[in-house]
Amino acid sequence: MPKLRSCVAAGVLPIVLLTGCDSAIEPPDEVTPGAIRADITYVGTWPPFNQFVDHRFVAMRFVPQDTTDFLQLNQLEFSEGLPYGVTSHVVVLPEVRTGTYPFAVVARQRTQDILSWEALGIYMENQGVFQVTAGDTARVSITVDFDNPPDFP
Amino acid sequence: MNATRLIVLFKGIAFVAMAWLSLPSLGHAQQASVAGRVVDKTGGALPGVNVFVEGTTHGTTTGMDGRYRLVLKSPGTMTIVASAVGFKRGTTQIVVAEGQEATVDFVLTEVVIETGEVVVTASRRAQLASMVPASLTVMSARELDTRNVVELDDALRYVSGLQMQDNQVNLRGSSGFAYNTGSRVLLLLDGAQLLTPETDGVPLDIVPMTQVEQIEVLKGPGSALYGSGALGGVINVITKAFPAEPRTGIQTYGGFYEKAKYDVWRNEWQESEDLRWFAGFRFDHARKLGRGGGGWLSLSYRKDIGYMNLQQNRLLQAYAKIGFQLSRRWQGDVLFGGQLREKDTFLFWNGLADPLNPGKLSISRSPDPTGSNDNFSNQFNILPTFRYFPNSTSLLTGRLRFFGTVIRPIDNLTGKTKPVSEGTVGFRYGAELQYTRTLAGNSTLTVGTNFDANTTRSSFYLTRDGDELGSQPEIAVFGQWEGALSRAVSVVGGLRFDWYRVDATETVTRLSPKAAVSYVVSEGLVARLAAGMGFRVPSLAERFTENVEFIPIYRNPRLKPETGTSVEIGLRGWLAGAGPVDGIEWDVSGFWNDYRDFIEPRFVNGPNSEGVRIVGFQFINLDDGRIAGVEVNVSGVLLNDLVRVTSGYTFLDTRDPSGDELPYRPRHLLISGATMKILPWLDGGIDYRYASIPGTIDSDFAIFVQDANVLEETHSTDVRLMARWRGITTSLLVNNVFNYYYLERVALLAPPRYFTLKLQLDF
Repeated sequence: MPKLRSCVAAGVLPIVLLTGCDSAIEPPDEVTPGAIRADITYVGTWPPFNQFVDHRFVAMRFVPQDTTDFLQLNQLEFSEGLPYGVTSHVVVLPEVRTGTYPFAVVARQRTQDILSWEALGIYMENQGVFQVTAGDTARVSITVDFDNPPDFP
Repeated sequence: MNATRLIVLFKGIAFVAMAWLSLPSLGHAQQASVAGRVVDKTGGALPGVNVFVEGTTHGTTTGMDGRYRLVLKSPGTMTIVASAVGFKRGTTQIVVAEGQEATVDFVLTEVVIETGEVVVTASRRAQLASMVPASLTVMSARELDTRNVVELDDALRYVSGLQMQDNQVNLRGSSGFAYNTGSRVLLLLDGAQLLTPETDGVPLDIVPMTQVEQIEVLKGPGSALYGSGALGGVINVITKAFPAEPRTGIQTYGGFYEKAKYDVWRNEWQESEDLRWFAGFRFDHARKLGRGGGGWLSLSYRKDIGYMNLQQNRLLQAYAKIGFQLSRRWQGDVLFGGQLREKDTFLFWNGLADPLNPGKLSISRSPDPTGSNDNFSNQFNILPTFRYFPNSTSLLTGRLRFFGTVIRPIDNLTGKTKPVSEGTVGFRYGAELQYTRTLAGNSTLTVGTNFDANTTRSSFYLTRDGDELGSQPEIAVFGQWEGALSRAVSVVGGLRFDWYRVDATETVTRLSPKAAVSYVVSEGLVARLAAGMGFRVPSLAERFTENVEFIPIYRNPRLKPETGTSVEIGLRGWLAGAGPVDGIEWDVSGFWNDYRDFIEPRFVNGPNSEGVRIVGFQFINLDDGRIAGVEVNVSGVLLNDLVRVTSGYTFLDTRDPSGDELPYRPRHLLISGATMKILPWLDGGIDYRYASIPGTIDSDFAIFVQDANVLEETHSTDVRLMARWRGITTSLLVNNVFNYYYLERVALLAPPRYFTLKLQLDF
């Protein structure tokens, strides 16, 4: 039996050491979210309803280069679908990741094509950059002027 | 041609003619002979055993039934030797008179316990595992039983060089990660091919595990014998033979997953505070039926509510096999069964801060979480096999197969099953005829033909005018010759021709050759060299799936078949016991696989092969892919069979056309295990698995899935205790005993520590 115990010890010890040496999957250090409040004002004539397949407020953690960047879902925070035909609307994203957001936009998807997203209004203050800190609400204001759509990107 | 060469040629022809003409007279001569049967200690026939007269080169080998007959050159006193690699040599001294036939049976004992398995996968016929010129791992029923293996993937996790990535089998890095679509590893059930009709994936849940005798995993291309799908290897599940006495088994088990250890994770999913349990029940009965016939029945039910949200799984299985013997020459069996399954498939997490909930993609505009997929599926199969023995040296085998699957999605909001029109219906059917003959000179010839067809309709397939969808019929012929050039050198040569109809206007043909040689360096050492070519036709799912509901994926009907060339060199050895070591078996192999038109999923942002702009994933043909590596396996029996240990290490070096590593392939894989007899009635065991972090992943996956670029080494340690008292067996298993959080695959947390208590009654 001493030999058996030695064998068990020789077999188990390396496993314990190997398993114990590495860090396993664990939650990220910073998980306390912040919030974003967007005050949206609509100016001009709304395009036809059938040209609004989808319509959302989007805050991005990078400056997009083209429309396909709207699909980088893990680098952006977005609202539920926004109402059609209103003159103003307030959006609150209650739990968003903290950090720098250099680009925020109200955008619409014109057709079923997922690449048919276009910007309707862009957050312009502070060169478009805002910060979200843990436990706080960042406020942004965006004006959508249907008669003077912004350049994108 | 000069005169000397003509004379030599003439002499040769004359010698062959005289030898041929003398055959009838030899048959009638009153010569002495010796005949008998060679079996292992369990009574199982041992094919391919060398039987010869000691001190001479005069000998023969046993047939598939372990029998032999050796006509002696002269009567007298002599020693007959039975010798096979991996077994202790058997010798018997006999005295034979003129015209007498002596009977000498041998019972051979393995050098190392359980190294003398008889396997059937490498050559489509029974042969000793020790003489297979390829890397082959065999798992016995005993190993499966002690680990409470419920589904096939539970067993495959303990095979060296094999990594399960959720439901996908990755053998020596042959597959990356594609949700079990287009498997490069072929699954056989009693030799019958079983890939799912809709995805050409390995149906891990369709095997009746309680009736499995052994699982053979052939590593390396098997296309020369098995065609498309076997590019990376073959898994052959062999079911049990019918017992001499009726046997009934009742088994029940249950267990639970440990609660997530981080508050953050539990807060995101309140139900994680509840007991996350699983339980199952099995009933088995097997018996002889009539003369030479038999049957077994297996019923099982399992429910697992999962350790993550939307991961519930319910499975009801019923399988039966009936064997019959019509005459001494005709026998056969039919394996049939079916299952009902409701399964939430957890596709990807909601990020590192919330890994117990499925993630969500907004582009689907679906109100449901899209990181899970709930469906109800029925699968059923019928596998009849017929065997005809024209004589003692020949075997004709016919197989039919029918595999059907119906998958219906479940609406996450209403909980109701959607109509079949919104799901998938697939049928795969085929037939096979194989003739095996032992030829003069102890060589074996195997020839055969195979037909396979697949008819599938799926709401996930997008078709356009001109697409012929749902059928890729295949016809193949194959042949293999195996022979012994001497008692030490054996060679194998094989060739398979496949014809596939891709659609109405396009067919694909492929030739898959193979060659191998094994050399018995000494009784305890065998060297081998094997080379072969293989191919895989893209599955319907890879060509036609188009869906943005879960992860944006686009069809590519212009996918070409991928091909592979493979070389392997290996050395296998056995060491007889010394001191506390009863015996050691080891195997070292180096392998090199070169793939052309390698099919992998890739993120595409631009025009696809049809000129349509897409942003999402698509299966495409890479120009080239290479996977090379080394594998070392060692197993031993210690302390007079008190302890058995096994360990396997695999090193993989993979490259894509640009020289980067192929995604989702770890460079290092390690498995290690030990089983100990603690008391006469109590066994204990431990298994450890390790996989290094893959060198690369498809980083574009992280565009859509939160924290999909997070990687972690795999460390999984399982321990078990098993007590036997008369016909009652009780087992306690603790999996992932250190509760180490690792990834089952990208964006999917592997199970935490979980406990299983199993009770089994056999009578």
